[in-house]
Amino acid sequence: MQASAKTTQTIILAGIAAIVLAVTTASALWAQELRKPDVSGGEPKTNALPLAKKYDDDIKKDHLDALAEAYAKLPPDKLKAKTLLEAGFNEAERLMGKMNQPRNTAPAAKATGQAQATQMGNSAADIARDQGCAAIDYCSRFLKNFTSEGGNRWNRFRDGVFVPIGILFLLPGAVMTQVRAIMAQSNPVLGQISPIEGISRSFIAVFMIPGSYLIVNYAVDLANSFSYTISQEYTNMCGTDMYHDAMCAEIRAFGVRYLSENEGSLKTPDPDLSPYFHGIFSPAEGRLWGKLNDPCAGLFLVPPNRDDASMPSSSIAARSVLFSTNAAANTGWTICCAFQTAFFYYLFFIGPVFAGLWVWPMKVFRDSFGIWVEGVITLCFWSFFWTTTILLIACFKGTDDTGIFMLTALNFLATGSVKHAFDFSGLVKAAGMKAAEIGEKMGKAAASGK
Amino acid sequence: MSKTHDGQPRPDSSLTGQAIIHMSQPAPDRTMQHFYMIMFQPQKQGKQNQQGQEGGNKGNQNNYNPNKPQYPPVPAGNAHGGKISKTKTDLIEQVGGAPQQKIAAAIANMQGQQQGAGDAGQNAGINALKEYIPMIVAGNVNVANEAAGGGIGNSGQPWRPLPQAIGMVQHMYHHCYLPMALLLLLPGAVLLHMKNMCSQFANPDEDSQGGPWSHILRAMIALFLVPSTQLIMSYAIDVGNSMTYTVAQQFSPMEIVAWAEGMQRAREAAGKPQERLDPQPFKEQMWQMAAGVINMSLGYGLVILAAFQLALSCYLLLLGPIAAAFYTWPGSVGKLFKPIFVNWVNGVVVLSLWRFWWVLIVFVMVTRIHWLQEIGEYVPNTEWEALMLGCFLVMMMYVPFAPFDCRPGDMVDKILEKGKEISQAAAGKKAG
Repeated sequence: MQASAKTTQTIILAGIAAIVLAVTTASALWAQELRKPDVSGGEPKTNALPLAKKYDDDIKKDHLDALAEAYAKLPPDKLKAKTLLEAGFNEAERLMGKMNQPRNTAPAAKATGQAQATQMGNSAADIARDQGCAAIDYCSRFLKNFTSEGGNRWNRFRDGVFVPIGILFLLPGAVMTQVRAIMAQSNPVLGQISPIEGISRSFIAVFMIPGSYLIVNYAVDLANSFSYTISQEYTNMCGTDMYHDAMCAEIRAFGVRYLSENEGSLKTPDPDLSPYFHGIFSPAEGRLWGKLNDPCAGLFLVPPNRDDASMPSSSIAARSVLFSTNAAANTGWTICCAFQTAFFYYLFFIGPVFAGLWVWPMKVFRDSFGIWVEGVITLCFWSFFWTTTILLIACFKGTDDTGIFMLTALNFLATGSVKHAFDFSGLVKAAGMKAAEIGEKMGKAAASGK
Repeated sequence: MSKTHDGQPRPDSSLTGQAIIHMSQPAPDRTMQHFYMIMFQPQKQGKQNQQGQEGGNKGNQNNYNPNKPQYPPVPAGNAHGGKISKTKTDLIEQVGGAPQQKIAAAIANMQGQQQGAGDAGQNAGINALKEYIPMIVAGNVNVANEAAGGGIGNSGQPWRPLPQAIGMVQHMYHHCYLPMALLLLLPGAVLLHMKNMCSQFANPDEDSQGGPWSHILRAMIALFLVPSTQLIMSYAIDVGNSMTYTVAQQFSPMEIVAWAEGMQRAREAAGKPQERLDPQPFKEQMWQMAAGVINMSLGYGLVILAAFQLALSCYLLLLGPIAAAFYTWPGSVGKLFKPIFVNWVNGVVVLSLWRFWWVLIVFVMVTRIHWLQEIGEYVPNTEWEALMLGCFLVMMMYVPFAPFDCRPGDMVDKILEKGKEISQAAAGKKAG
């Protein structure tokens, strides 16, 4: 009995296994069949070649060609107005058919993308150079110390409006702080506070309210002093003007060919992308530049074999992104130059108010004067950071072919240094991220064909 | 173009170059020291135009002159001819302007641009890698080392070797920034002393912990720190270069270039044009474009990174003495003064190690390829390889700048961005 039951069980299991095997094999075969290109409309059909053939079928190319051949063979004495009209129809249809044939449009589309990318890059380079020179020019100028003229509009408004506001804030703040200090003597919940904190703070604030004037006044002078010292030492060292040299570096980095400097025909020579000089970045820059132009060094090279139409697409993509990145960075730099001045004006007015608030017991008010001082000092050091950056731009001018890689780094430094100020580790981190970002943008530009 | 067309003498540009002028613009909030005006003339540098042959119609530029037509006038009065011309023009407009006519061309154009973009990215990436991986491995220039400077030279020369630029930076360091820092010591010590005196009446903070002589003690420390910034910078760069060198000795970084070149060769073989069109499936073109994007990012990321490292090394060297001088100044003005020096040291250390982290990740990449080859499971040019490369790229773009934050979660966003880029490319957004 047991043996027969076991045999039945084995047979059933074998049957189930056979069914499962048959089903899986059949499904696999079916799936394989479905994956065949002619069933799934798969890979061999999804490229441009069948597309081009299908287009020919759609416009009945063979028929149109045959008609054209026939019309071409008609003797002149057989030509009639009707025939000429039909030949005209045929000509129009063939012409448009050929013009829109993918074989003819795809290479032109590639060329169009490259031409657009070239022009976009050239325009961006013009902006980068203009804005870079403008920013350096602005940095070469001293900040006008608008606080130093007694009785001018700035001082009149500050003394007549904002100093009284600061003093009015001082009194209630001192009272509240002193009340809190008295309460804290018998109530440890309020913390350990000096019993005369209100009085001592108000005593200090009385000096700080007018003293805020001096902080702005000294800060502007200090900013100018930094700029003067560094640029003067550069002149002592090299005998040339630091700002002028830096402007030449910007012009050299962003030298693009204008319409008059390109041959303007399809017959352009093969490009010679070898570097012209021997700097560490020269080989990379040699692949990018179309013109070497350094007015300070009397350098002006516009080789025929670096015509815009000769440059390979990889060069066009790379330099286009470098140019546009620098255009944004340098525009930001010029805006920051104006912002520095504008913010000094604002801080000058608001200083006495924050000094008055320093007496108050609330943390947000109490911290405001410290933050104000930090703001004024940081703003004054912007000139120092910029002058240092311009110094480096001038120092590194002429050490490579165009210097665009160093200029990209230094132009970013001009804005990054004021953004991060004394947060050097933040600056290092941001610089690295920026490099990565530019690399990624280049890839995207290459991907978009622009 | 036809041979006849190419054989014709070509004109140089018919446009006259206009002078490009950079000159100082008004900025009345600032006091102008110099009026700058830099001018240069764009020049015609194309081939000089030559007198053409009769068969070539004497050059392209002589084809048509509206004032002096060279084609014989066609007598008017043929009504049929006029009607045919009009009808033909209308037909060209109707047939040529029909949307159906444009569909195939639009698809082919997009694919053509994708192919062009893929080639541009691949080749640019290979070029950058081929030339600059050795430069990255060679280490950063030790801008703080006196031997790295090569004098000052003449800033008006068309080309100057890099040591001259380093020499100028070092000159400025010694003659401008060091004295400036020493001058900043004294007011800082005075301010700190004043603050400590005043804070005796209020709440003393950590500046007061040094006692009544804290300003003098901190000034003495800063006095030694100011010149040692050059030493700190020099040691940091040397240590970074030494670590980079040690890792780079273990493998051949150029293998990454060979990997990229191999991928491009395979692509070019598969994409050899037939009837002026890429015979590969559309999805292959898209994938190749994505790979090109990644390779190009990697290559130029390296180059720009090297430039950033050199520029920032010089910048931090110059600002080092100032940061050290601020050690004397009060430490509770927001983020200012006393903490600046510690921050500077952090920046120098992180900056100096950039190339080490970079080379280390390349080493991991190469080791992985070797290991897979050893076990016989390395399959180049696959989707998986592209994904792995993308992940290593994200590590390269993240790790060197925050090397001590080993948080993989922070990198996930970057990885997802890559995936998004590829999917956008698939949607055709990149090819427009």
